Amino acid sequence: MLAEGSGLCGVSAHETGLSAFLAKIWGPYCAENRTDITGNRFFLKPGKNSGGKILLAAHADEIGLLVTAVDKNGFIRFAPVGGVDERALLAQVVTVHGRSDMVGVICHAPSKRRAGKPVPLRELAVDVGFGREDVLARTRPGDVISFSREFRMLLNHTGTGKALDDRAGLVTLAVCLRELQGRAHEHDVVAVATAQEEVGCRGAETAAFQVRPAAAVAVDVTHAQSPDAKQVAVQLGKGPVIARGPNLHPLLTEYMENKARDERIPFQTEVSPRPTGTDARALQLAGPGTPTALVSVPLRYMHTLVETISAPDVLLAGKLLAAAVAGLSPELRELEFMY
Amino acid sequence: MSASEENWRLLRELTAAFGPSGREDEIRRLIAATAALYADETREDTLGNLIVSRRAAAAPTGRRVMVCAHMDEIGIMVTHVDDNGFMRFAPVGGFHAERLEGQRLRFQSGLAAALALQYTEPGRDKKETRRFYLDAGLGAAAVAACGVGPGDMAVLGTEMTETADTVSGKALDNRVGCFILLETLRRVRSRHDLYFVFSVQEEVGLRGAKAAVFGLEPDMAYIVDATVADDIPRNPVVTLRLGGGPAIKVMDRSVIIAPERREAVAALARDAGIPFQWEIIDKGGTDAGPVHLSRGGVATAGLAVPTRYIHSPAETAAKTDILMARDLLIRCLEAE
Repeated sequence: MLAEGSGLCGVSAHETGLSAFLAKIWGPYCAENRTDITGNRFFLKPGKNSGGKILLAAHADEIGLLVTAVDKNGFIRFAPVGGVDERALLAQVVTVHGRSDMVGVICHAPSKRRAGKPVPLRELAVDVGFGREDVLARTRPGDVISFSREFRMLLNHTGTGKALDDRAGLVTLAVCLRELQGRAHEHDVVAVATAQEEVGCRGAETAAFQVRPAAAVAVDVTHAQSPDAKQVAVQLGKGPVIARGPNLHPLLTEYMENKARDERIPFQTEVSPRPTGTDARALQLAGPGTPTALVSVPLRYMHTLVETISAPDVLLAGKLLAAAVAGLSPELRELEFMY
Repeated sequence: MSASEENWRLLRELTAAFGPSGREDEIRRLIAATAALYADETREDTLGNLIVSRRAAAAPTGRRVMVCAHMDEIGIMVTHVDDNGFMRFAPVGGFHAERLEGQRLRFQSGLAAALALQYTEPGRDKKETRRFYLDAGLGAAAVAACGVGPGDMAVLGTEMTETADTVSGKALDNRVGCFILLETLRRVRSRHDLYFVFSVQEEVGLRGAKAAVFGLEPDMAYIVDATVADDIPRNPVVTLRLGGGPAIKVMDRSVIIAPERREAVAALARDAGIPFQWEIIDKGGTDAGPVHLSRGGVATAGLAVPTRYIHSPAETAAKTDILMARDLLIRCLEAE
């Protein structure tokens, strides 16, 4: 599932490439599958009493590029969609989604050579092998450029590829929904593959408005220890990460932690003193305010084409979510402050 | 209709009107008075957005379409007047003092003031906003007597100039959008109920449109604004040029237009023989941001007038682009 999800193309605001995949991995456990104007995809798994809804959000979109112009030599210039790291762009293979898909390579369209420095984005271009007129006949400004990178397994159940942010989250929710097949749960579960997270958590905003959930959990990836990081506490392969901080509801967070302990699921803690860079920031402020938690899969080298995760972390994150959903009381007493 | 027959005097008046973000009363009065002839209803909401509605002509579809242009402009707010009458200020919106040294600013009362840089050590001090001040040529008591003090705002002081092909001046961002809406209001015959919104506080964070769209709950929205033209010397890759036709929005920092929406607008342009360009910018947001995310999401498209030197006293746009943007907007509103 990770390999398949990673290979699909779903640059922000162009997430339809994920629809069939979602129908396959979430559909079998759900009663309803619909989309909306923003590009969110909603799957409903009814609970025993259809009272409040629990919204589980993982974003479908990935970072990418948009064609802005074709220069006089036929090289395609582009703008970033989402937090593209320009250091990791040069010499990558891409697909330009023009009139038909074209393979391209990212090259340097230099003004001056700067040894030892990353090439700034405005000096990068895509070469598809044609001159200007032929390129203009095949693509135009606004066309999407996506990254091409095959998912591969490293040692120790570790996988690497592009867009694991947040295809890992989509797979986590598939695990959760499958687990819930065998467990009773009071509340309706609405699993949402949100659109446009990478450009500002936009899908989560309109999704939450429509669902009006009693509680919400965002499922995303978070930075794990890598060679350049001095102070990252999160480790790959040590279990899902439950975030703490003002963006997250303290009681829902504590409840998730207790559930993990009850179920003997190892978990890690990350602290976000500011709004998290995830759908949680939009979900928390939705409607009159929504109790929101954040569960993340540890990931190394975020927003590169070699994002790296540990498969057991995904499985455990899915089981944790399922246990948490199934354990919630009909009245959501877990979320009541005791003053 | 040729450019010379157009009502450029109206655009001149619109750019001249005072209206920094949060202080839009003067520009709102002018627009309301101009719109009144063609409106079924004109009202102002709590934040100060002006909402001009036009009921559907024959065979109404029952659909509600919002057309939005912001009427506020960048400026400054006085924070402190010192003993010599020199005024310190905070920027309102994207007002970059370091690029505007020596400009004349104007308060709503008409008081003019020069934007000046304090004494700086050569080669040591950076030109930061906090090192600039306003000098009205008056002492502290006289400044106070003019009714200017902390909290008061000023805007760039230039008047619009015109050539056969272009217009140039302050606040074309986005009085050019207001002009297009007013011209559209005058001519359009739509089967939809139209709500022309002249929004406030766009330059300080797309604030007015957020409240307006929530209140109106439209089925569809069109945003009209000025955008950056980059056809300037030594730019190796020009993406938007003056005279190339209106820009149809693809992406900015606040929105990615749904591909089918922008294609629908492009198809109408092609049918009408209106040339157009695609707008893709990776900085700067527009009212399209809050509008498309309102409630459960609103189908949104954007039109823009390519404009050189945005947020300067000499913003420059092509007359043909403005007129063709108007014509394209009318096509959009008269389509199904």
